[in-house]
Amino acid sequence: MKKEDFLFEPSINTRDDVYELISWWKKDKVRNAKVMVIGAGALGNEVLKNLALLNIGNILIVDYDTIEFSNLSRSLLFRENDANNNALKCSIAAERVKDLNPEVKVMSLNADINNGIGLGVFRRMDAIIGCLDNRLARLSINRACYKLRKPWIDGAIENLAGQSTVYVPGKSCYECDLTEREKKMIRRAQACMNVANRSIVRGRIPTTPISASIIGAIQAQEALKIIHNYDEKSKEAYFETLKSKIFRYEGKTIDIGVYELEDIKEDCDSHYYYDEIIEANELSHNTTVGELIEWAQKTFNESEPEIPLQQQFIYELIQDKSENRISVRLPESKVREYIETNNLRTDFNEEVYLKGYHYLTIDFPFKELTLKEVGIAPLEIILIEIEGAKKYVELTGDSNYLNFK
Amino acid sequence: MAKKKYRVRIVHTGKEFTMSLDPSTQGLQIVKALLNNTKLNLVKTDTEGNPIEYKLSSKQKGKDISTNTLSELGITDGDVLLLHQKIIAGYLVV
Ligand SMILES: [Zn+2]
Repeated sequence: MKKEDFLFEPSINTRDDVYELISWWKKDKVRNAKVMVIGAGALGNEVLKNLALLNIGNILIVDYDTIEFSNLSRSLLFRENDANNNALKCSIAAERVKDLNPEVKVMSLNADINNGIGLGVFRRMDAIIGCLDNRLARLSINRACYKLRKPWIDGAIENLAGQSTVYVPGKSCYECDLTEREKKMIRRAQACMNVANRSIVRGRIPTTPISASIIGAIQAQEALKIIHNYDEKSKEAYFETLKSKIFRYEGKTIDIGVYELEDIKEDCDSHYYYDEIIEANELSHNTTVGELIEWAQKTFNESEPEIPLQQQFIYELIQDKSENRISVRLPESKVREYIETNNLRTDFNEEVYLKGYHYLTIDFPFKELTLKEVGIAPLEIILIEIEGAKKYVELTGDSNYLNFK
Repeated sequence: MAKKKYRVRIVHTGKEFTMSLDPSTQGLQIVKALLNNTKLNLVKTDTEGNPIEYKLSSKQKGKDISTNTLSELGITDGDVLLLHQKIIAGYLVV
């Protein structure tokens, strides 16, 4: 027998050729997939590396932080020079993902997940992966995903341990799993976030790159399953998933297990769905408040539409000691930076009070401001309250905002 | 209800022991009792001073248990109850 008779050597010229040797691999699903990774720290780096190697078509990286020297020991996408340059984690991560695999398209957003990413962005994703260090950001993702009935993949690491969960709206919920004490801590973090130093809500927990590799790998693999949709319903293939389950790994004792989460509770602020989304091509984050109100009046035949804001719009800051009043036009998330830049807190005990609007209505006095200026993110889905009904309107005019390269 | 014996394992230390519990006890109550047991000396705060939350699960049932009771989840004599630390971080590491 000649060697050629029993040696099968498939021709492998692209990354797709390799993966197509796997029977259940669906090249088109993977190539067309859009995956958002929120947080580009130790865990995010590992997830991104895996997504790049898996040839995931479109990867969106969201982070607001810069690279510090301390990140380098656990973040394989970052280099010493990045820390010296104080470079943005999201931009460098995007660059390095592209370097790892030029076939994937990448986009980075230097934004805070609590208020900087429109729901329409979540809506366009096939998988959403949280690589975060705090409860508040996880809660924001949970609430966004719940509204859109999208599952999301959470991961967390600490020391030699880690865990991962896939939350599925209607079946499992991050918020339902929080204890009363944790909810209290979130409320405190929320109150501090906009006016105080961000480090209050930022964890500084020691970890190793090992737990990041393990949990990041599990998260990326769950994303791959979600993209293929090979779960209970699929006839093509069946995969056990982490939907409504938690994977726990404790490296110190090598204790590994998967556990079902408890049922969701009846009374929970996350359980809210945005069904029947209206795509408004004529609206974008550059639309003015006046134009939006007019649009709502005309479209819904309602003279007084009310639009609740996700974050307050601040028009005045008051320094408590001098009672000095400063006129501003800022979304609440920009206040902290404004106070710091303008040195408004003269000493540690100085409080700065905020006066603002929670709603956009026909009485809102700054109608010439754009939605962006009042703190509404691109591609946001805006809740408009009209008599007896709620409408969910997407700023679909921002469609080009998502631009993977 | 008569108490039953359960094996308890503290996952991050590997310590195992037997505990007598009423099957009508909630998972949360068991966690509280374990944390209050000074002999176990479980860490209650992380390196930043923030409280650490713990979660209980049943090894045999493969389920988390907090507001449910042992009997509600059908967790019987001899089952292993695992105490896990709830992990929060994952992003910024120092
Ligand atoms: Zn819930």
